[in-house]
Amino acid sequence: MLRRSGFIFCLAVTVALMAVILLPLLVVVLGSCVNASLLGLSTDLWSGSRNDIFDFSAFAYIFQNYGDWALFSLELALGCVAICLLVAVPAGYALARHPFPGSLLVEELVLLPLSLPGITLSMGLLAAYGELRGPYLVLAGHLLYTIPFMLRVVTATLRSFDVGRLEAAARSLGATLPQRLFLVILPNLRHAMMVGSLLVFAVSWGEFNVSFLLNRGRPQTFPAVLYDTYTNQSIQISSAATTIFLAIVIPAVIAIQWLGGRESSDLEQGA
Amino acid sequence: MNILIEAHNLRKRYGTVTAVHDFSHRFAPGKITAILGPSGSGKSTTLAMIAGLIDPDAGSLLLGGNDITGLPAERRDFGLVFQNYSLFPHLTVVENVEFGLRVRGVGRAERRRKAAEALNQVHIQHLADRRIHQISGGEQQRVALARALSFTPQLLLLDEPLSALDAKLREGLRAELGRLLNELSLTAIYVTHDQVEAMSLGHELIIMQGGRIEQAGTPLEVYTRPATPFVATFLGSANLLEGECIRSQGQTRLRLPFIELPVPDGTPIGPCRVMLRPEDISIVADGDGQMCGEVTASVFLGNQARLTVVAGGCALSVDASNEAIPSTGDAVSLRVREAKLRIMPKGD
Repeated sequence: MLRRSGFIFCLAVTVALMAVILLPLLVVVLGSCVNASLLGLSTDLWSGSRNDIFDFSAFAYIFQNYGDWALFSLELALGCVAICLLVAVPAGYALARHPFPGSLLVEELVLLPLSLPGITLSMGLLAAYGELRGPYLVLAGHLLYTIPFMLRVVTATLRSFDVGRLEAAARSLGATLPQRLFLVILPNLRHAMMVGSLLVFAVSWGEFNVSFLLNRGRPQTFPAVLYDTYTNQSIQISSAATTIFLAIVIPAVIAIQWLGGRESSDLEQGA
Repeated sequence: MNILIEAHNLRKRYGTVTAVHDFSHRFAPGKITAILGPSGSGKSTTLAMIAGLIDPDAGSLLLGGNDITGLPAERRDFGLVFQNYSLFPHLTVVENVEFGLRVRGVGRAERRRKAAEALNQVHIQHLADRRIHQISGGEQQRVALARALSFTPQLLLLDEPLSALDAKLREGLRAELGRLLNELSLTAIYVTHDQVEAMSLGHELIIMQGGRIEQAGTPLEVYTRPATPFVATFLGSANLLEGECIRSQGQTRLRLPFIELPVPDGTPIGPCRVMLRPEDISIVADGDGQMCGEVTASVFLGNQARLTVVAGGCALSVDASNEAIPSTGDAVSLRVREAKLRIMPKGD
């Protein structure tokens, strides 16, 4: 009886917390397409037809006016993923497999940008590479924020299954360096690289400060659309922008959770 | 296809510590050589140098007379079984076993056939499609063995392969491993710290300590005629006593604190150390003994008891049958099996 009431209490707390977190998101999503009066909002903020319950014109407006911004953000996020895979995976392997005096310090230094405010990082980059201001400097700023995620995931995974041991086994079985890389190391890093890529994508897609400060002119990154529409446009249009933003980032976050859970359960099973 | 493997003065240093000093040995083709030693004795480093996973600082390794010292591990064609299995977690059992064939470019059908054969040898063909995390530790070790055997290696190296298993499983797998290796007549080097494993599996035994070979020989030779006090005490139990060989009345005699015994002529005269195993001292009826002692401790071991008997001021370990175990405080008569005495020059 006590256990049952405890369960009900925990469930109630969980549902209440979920409601607190999800309700604002729900309002935003509905605000993008449902008549404002139905949501109890002032109809002055409703840019669609006064009679329709649903109206998706705000999405069309966003795609029409900010489509290139979304595309730029996607390109930036995918570019970050590609560069992180090319740079952070080999670096993580080197740090985990061949540690040297000070290698832990190097790992910590790579994490440093995460603790710096975006404005500090941006000013530093502008001071050093001001003439590059524009998309490439935005990419550099995003990489400073995303490489630590990929590096951490890769080094933690490599350490969890002692890659040196598996490599020694592969060598004893006759595997050359490329065979060890493609048949042993990379397959065992598959989960880590997927989780790392999704993290990098989500961080880059959601980054605002550095992008805003380092970019020159238009298009800006997609979070700037939210800033632009919330300050200058109707709630319906800014809600549509937010809904698009969430539609991209939420699947990535869910995939990270799912893959992360699968990876840890594989490792716990002694694989 | 049993080729002679020879190690000549292999040496490995880590900073100021020499892990292996001038290891030299000719490994008998088609036989199992067990390298036995305590932790830090250099046995695993020696194995890793033979495997090609560690480069020696000096010395050479010959395979059929050809110098393979600089040959990387992946080109040596040696099978290696690790203590912690080191199976590939992303592959199934059969994929693990056929890995060595896959990297050699063997076709899928042929490698499946050979992998099935190797799995059959270790009786786990029914686990072929399982994931590694779905099988037990004992089964994982069988997979590791099948994987090392699948490509018919020139030499099989085993680094404490059973030490991660529980005692009962270890015993069963040890017997099976011995049978399989003898059936295959494969040259094998088996590193272990377990003397039962080393003596029961090894046709030849190398005892290492402090990075050096203390003694090499058949298990019987090493057990009955240990070359050094370390070997005497490391392999089985032994009483190590200070004594002196003297010439008296035309005879060579060994003088111990509690007894004086004739020993073969030619035994070096002077102070010596004497090894006497507990099983070579018998408790006999009063009057038949060579000396008397008092039992000061007794440990029951099931099939026998290990007694501590004080005789002539020396505490001796003595084995007693479980049919008549003297009690602590009892006076007992003892008789030494003189032929089993091992006299070593003092200073070893």
